[in-house]
Amino acid sequence: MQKGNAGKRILNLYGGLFFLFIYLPIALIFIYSFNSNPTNMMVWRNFTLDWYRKILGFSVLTRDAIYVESTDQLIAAVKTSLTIAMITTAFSTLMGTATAIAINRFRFRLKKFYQMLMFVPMIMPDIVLGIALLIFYVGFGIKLGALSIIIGHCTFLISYVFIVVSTRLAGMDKRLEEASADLGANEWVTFRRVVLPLIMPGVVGGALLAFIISMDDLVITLFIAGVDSQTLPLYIYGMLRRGIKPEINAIASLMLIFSLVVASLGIYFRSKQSK
Amino acid sequence: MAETNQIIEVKAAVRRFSTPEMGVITALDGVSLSVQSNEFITLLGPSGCGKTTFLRCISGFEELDEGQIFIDGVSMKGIPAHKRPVNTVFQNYALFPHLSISNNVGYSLDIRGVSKKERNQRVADVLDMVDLTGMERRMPHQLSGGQQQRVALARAIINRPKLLLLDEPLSALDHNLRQAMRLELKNLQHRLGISFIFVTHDQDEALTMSDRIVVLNGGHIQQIGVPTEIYDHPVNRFVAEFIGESNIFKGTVCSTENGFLEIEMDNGIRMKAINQGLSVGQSAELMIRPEHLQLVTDISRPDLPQISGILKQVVFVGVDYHLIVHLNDKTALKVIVRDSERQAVNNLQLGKKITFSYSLKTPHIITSGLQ
Amino acid sequence: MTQSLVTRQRIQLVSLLGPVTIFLGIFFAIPLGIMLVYSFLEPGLYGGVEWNFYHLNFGRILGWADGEIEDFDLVYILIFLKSIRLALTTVICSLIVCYPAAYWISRLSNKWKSFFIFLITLPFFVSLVVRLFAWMLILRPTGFINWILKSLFNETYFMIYSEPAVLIGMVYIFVPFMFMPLYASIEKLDQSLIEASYDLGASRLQTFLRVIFPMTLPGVIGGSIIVFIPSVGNFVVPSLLGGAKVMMIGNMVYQQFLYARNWPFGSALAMMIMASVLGLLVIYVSMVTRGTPGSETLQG
Repeated sequence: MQKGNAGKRILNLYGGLFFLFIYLPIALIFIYSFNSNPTNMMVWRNFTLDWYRKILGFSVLTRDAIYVESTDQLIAAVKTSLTIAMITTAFSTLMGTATAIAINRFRFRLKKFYQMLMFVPMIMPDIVLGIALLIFYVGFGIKLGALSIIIGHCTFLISYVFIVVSTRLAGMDKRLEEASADLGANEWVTFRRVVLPLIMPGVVGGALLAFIISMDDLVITLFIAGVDSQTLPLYIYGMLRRGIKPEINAIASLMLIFSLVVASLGIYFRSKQSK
Repeated sequence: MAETNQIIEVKAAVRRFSTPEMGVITALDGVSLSVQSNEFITLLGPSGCGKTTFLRCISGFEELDEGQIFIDGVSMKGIPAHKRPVNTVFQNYALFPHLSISNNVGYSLDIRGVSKKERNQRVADVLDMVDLTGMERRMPHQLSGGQQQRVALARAIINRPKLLLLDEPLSALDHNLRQAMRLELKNLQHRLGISFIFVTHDQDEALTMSDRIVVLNGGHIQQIGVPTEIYDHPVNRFVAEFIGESNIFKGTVCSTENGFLEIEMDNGIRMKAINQGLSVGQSAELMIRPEHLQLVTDISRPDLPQISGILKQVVFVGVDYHLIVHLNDKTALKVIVRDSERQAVNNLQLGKKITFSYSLKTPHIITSGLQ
Repeated sequence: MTQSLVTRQRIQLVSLLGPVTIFLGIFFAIPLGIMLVYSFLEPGLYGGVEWNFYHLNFGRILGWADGEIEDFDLVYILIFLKSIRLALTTVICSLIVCYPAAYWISRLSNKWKSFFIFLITLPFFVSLVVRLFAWMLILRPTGFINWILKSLFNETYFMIYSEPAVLIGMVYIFVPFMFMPLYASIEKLDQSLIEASYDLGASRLQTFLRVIFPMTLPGVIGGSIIVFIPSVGNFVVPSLLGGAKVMMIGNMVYQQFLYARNWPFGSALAMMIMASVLGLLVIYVSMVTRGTPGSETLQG
């Protein structure tokens, strides 16, 4: 097939362009976070780490980087995001795993219903879920704040964990649990000694997935955060709406790196197969 | 009947399944069985006959809908699998992939919190029994199929259960290994003094290894007996055809005298056999094994009854010759002739008349039994 | 105490599913139900709700602001249709962008395959705001593209705050969503079928139209649904890259809830979004079940 070669080269070129399309914007943020020009970000002036210094609370070295907002808000937002993400992860991992075990290892009549129940939050547009929760909280007098955000995140993150752990469970040999029972272990011991070790990569992968999605969530959080709480994505969104400031580059870059590292770990764990 | 001798007694076990495609299936329909201590008993039958279900009901992975199971005199009703005093060797071994051989074998001890010293000793002992000394640190995926099977065995016997259930444990092994393992299993059973309930669809295995064979079909027990009994005197057509090769003909008794009878088959051929209590006019089925038909040569005994037909096919299978002979153009007769009679076989001509004789003890009359 | 096997299982099942059921029942099902109810309620004067049936929320959407025929104004319907149009355009564009890439990756060796799939999935985990910020940087009057244009041609082009800008942003966000299902389908393609097609004389275009594309249809449809659903109700992209010029139904909902404080009306708008999602799913399910004899296997 002579057509093959030209076609192949075009395809390779396309592949390259595709990845350029995906990563160039991200790379730009990162590159320009080192640009000391405070007014026109795209015009390169000097290499500087000042923006990073400023947002992390250190004093700056050059005269350019003096117009920066207070970093207290930023740090508060980071803390809030992390706290929320960790609690959300713990809760949704527990629930998601329990549901996955129930669906994959038991026979019962409402099984299809529960499978759909897990499926629905993921196909629901976030805006719909966000306002539904807002109405609910206000209607029942629940204060909007970190707790309301945690609950909101859990409603759909349980489904994500469920899917990852389910996949792992489905690939596990059921006979192993029978063998364990045959040898005298009750259900809890079997879970602890046989099932959990074997699904652990899935559980960890699901947890990391939940963590990063919680950290990054914007839309749902926007509606249910209330005035007092602010998460990192909310903070950045607010900044972007008010006007672009140079230090956003640095903040965004740090977020980028953090997300990429955690996501890499998550994907690594998710793809770990047992022989 | 001493109670202490019976390890397990199953009374009228019934187990039903409902499937979306076929409605309710009765996997076990009133199965009763008792197994003695130190007995090697085999459940034999085609796929879907209920033998695996039976095993799973004993081990506790499934519950009976009706009937009872007593192990060592104690009813197993309501007792979950992990509390039952039986152990299972699974068909695909079900070794824990994330645990070493030592942790696999010692699993049941680890759960009970047995002291480290005793546990390690017992693990070493049992590994020695299955010829896997020194393999403690290995992981399951590093072992061959045969080795994995022995680990599964070791894991199941370390507790010295009174009863061991084996669900087609040899089916994944290649032919030669299978043969070797059969002997090993039998020896192991003798050494340990444990009762084995062994499930297989392979009749050779059943015949070679068992003290008694239970033939199952469609959820019903067809016959229970020692191997020779099952082979020589099958109670019904199913058992006769499932075990070994057989020729089965339907007919009517036309004469009885001196404790012998003569049956006239539907194909017109007459055969003689020992009378097992039938009278003239009764219909019955006669079975004769292919190896019991002797080629008539000049030096054959003339007093033996004979049967003739047209030789249609001769196949050499190494140890024997398999012959297909047509009687009266309608029925086929299968005959197995030993290689020792090669001379005679070489003189045979396809399409020509051929005659066989048989001893009167060899045909077996089947009076209709359960199917 | 002897319990039967069934009772034992039942207890375990309840303890596993109980918490989730309660949690989702309270915090998922009920809120959605309330939202449904709200869409039929009358908005109160100062932002609350009056508990009487008020059909004018939907009426307003359909065009009647006060139930008066003279005030017929289709603005909301138009915005709704525009949102759907934009969502569909996003789907088609991401499909066109992803398909060749997925095809290319599926033809690579296994080692490279996992590497590139990893690379594509990664941006999914970077926050929406960060990824959109990148495009703001690129498309602004003082942004990257204009910087290049200015350096080379001494011209600038105003491209942000327009529909194309929003489209680019949407496609960029949703490419990872479209990629995975699409890739799963393309990867399963039997190479020998493609070769058979060439062998029988078909051109590359014909082979694509007659063999490749139809066989990857499940992935195409799956990816389209996964992209369409968040696209319809999206407001972040229009708000950052569209400014006031591009208004989608998501923006309207946002406004009603956080500014106008007309929650019933906002709920009604949100219900429109839900309706389009459900409508799509119904179409999808009916298409799928028409193919197979409708047999679903119950997992034991």
